[in-house]
Parts: sequence; structure tokens; C-alpha cells
Amino acid sequence: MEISGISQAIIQGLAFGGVFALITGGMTLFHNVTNHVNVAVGSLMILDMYIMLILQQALGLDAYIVALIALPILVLFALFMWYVTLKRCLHYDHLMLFQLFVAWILVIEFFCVIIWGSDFRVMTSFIALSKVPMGPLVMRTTQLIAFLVSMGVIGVLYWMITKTEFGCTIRATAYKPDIARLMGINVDRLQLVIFVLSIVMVGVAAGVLAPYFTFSPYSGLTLSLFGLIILVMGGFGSWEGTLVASLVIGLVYGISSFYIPNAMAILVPYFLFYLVLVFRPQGLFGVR
Amino acid sequence: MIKIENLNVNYGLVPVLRDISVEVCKGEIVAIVGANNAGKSTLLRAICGLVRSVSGSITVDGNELTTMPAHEIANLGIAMVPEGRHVFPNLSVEKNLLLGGHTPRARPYREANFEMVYSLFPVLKERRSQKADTLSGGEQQMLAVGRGLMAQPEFLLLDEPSLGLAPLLIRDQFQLLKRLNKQGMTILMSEQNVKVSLSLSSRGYVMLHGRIYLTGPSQELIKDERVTKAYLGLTE
Repeated sequence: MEISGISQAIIQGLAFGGVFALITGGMTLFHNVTNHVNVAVGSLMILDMYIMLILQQALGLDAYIVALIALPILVLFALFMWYVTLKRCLHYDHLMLFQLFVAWILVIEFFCVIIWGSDFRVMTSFIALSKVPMGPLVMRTTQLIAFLVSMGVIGVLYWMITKTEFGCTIRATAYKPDIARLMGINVDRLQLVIFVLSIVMVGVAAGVLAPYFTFSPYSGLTLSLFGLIILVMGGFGSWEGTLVASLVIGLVYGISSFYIPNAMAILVPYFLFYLVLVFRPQGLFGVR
Repeated sequence: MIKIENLNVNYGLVPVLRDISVEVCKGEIVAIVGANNAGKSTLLRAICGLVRSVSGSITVDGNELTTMPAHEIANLGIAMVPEGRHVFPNLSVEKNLLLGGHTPRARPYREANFEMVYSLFPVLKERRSQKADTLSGGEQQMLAVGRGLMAQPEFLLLDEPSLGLAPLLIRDQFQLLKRLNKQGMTILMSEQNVKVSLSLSSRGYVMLHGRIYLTGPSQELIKDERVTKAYLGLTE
């Protein structure tokens, strides 16, 4: 019983880590082409879940279906963010942008609290209670879907970045935007495209997480902070590092929340983060 | 032709280029020489659209460049080999060259240009799947020039092409530039190495403190004592 329990925790952790890989993958891409960190991803994810919730209440559809409808709405909101603030501010230094994103976190939080209140919410899906047997273990179908979809999207993105010309333009811009411009790369447009792509990844992450996740307007900040420590742990801008750090943080969180109460379990990834900072400050896969 | 008229560029409030007028006609090799901080690099960066001017104009075949975004300028057939090479370190040699031919103007000629660059620099073909940061300095300079040629340029701009290269490699590179010029490439380069660059070019501009101090046929400049003085800061 004990052994299957811990295995269960590992599977849960991996599924959670996969979802983190999606949002931090988007953060990494955005950091590559703008040199800024979008710390509002967690709140955007929660916003997307609330959009899904309202759609579900109005239309009575399954969580996975409303996720697809919510995605373009989230992108519209992100475009609003882009044209109203981000586009004009990208040339400022990191701290300014950090404050801007924090401002967006607050705006989104307040907006959600005003409209939906601060209670915890859950969504319903026809497979919410179903389970998939995997050898001696059972896995919740929702978690299996979350893990597979995340890894699939990450795989496609990894292929895109390493093999396609579009990926080359991203990596060239990550090296030096001015040199990329000399190649005829429209860096300003690329930044917008990548921002939208990262938001789509947030939407997908929210879509696969929502069917088994309990959320309140304040969950966004926790998710963002996890995203931030994953980015630093992996080594800023490193794809491999981000993926590994996501799975590690997911695993550690999954296992620790099996052994200790949730309020304490949430501290364990931070302790791991502290260890990485002390012993490998450049991050797992970072250079320098 | 590239025609620069009364160009002024500031970094913040500090003027770095003052009243620059330069012309480069098709088929020429023009050298801009001067000491460090004379503004040579800034001038080339202004042509490429990487720095913005306060006043004045830069036209290429009638197109005004001062208000054009850098990626559109690249598409006009102006290729820049930047100072310090700046090949993309994490990309393979082949991917570096691929990006050199990224503009819509260059795309149809990509295959032919790959052939051309690989025949000019066989070593790049050997190392085409290697990452650029594993190349030696000389090879990186070849890659930077090759990347510029992939853009199917009419004007090739080189910023300090001899910087950090062994004398033998400098000679090779300047011979190559001469050959490219014979095939019809217009070349504008900035150089601290006065002797080599003026012996290659047809005309030269000597820059001092952000201004054009002297200009004329390279053969005359090479003998002019004032050029040396400009370098040593012996002018009033």
C-alpha cells in the first residue's frame, strides 16, 4: 500500500511537472527574444480557468471542450496586454518590466475576485473520476492527459526550435537582437509572435490542468513563483534545463505533498531551489 | 549608390557623428579609416538602421534609410559583416549561412549562394554541421563574410574586418574582397588598419572625432601626412 502510494505521488508529480514545463517553456521562449521574464503567466493561467468555468456554466460543456473555446479569448486578452502596455515597454530594464507584470497579476487577481469571488472552484469533466490502470498502479485519466499533452506540445516546440528556420530566427534573436535584424529578421514582430505562442502554451496548460485542479484567484501567484524558480533552476534560456527543472519541481512537490501537509509541502521546492542557488548558481543547464 | 548627407547621430545627448557626408558609387571599394572612437562603426550601424540619426539623410538608390527598420534595409541588398564577427555561436555553420539568406530578396538564390560561399571557403563546407563557436577566429570571420554574401548583397559593409586576425589571414581576406569587387560587389569598410585598407580601396574617408576630416583617392591619402596626424591626435 505504502509503495503504491508513493508511486502514485510520483505519477502525480510528473503530471504536474509536465504542466509546468508548458508554462515555463513559454516563459523561456519569451525570455529568449525579449530578455524579460513574464511572471504573470500563473495569473493568466488562472484567468483562463475562470473563462473556462464561466463558459462551462453558460454552455454546460465538458472542461476539455471549453478549454478550446477559452484559448482564443485568452489570446485576445494577451493581445490587449501587449498593445496597451508591453509593446511600448520592452526596451525598459528588467525591473520596470517586472513591475509591469506584477501590475498585471494584481489587475487579473482583482478582476477575478470581483467577478467570481475568492472561493476555491473546480470544473467538471466526464472523465474527472475515471482512472487508467498502468501495471500495478492506477492513474487518473485527467493527469495522464495532462502529462501526454504537455510532453507532446513540448516535443513539437523543441523540434521547431532546433530544426526549423523559424527556430533559428528565435535563437539568433536570443543571441543578439541587433545582429538578427541585420539578417532581415523582423525582431519586433517575432517578439509579438513569441508572446502569443507563450500565451497559447499557458492556455493549453490551463486547459489540461483545470479538470483536476482546485483554484482560486490567488493560485496564480503560486504558479508564477514556481515558474520563476524553475526558470532560474534550469538556467535562464535553456530549453533542456527548463524541462528537467519542471519535472524535478513537479516530482519534489508531488512526493513532499504525499508525506507532509500541503502548506508545508509547498516549501520543499523552494528549499531545493535554495540548494541549487548555493551549489550551482548558474542553474542546472546554465552556462557562465 | 549610397549617399549620406549631413548626417548627425547622438548617443543620448552626446554627438558621435557630426555633419557626415559620404558617397559610395556602384563598383567602388571605399574605406573609412580613423582611430578608435572616431565614429566609423557608428556610421556603418547608421546605414544598417541599427542606430538612428538626429538629422541628415541616407539614401540608397533613392530609398531613404533613416526612417526604415533595419530588417527592411537588409532586404534592399545591404549586408553587414559586423565588428567582432558576431556569428551566432549556438547555431551550426550551415544555419548561420541559412539565416544570412533569410531576406525575401535573397531566398530564391539560396542554393546558388550556398555553393558560392562553400567554394570560396571550403573549410566552412567541411565544418558545416559544427557549431559556430567551435570555429577559430579566422574561420569565424570567413563565416561572417559568407553570411553576408548569402544575403545576395549589392553593397557589402564590413566593420573592422581585420580586427584580431593574423597578418596572413588579413591578406587573404583583402584579396578575397578585391576579387568580389571585380565581380561587381560594392564594398564599404571601416578600418583602423590604414595602410592595408587604403591600398585596397579606390577612395577613402578619414574620420576624426565624429567628423570627416579628409577625403580623396586612396593613393593620395596613403601619402598624406595629415592621415598619420589624425591617428595620433596631433591635429588642432
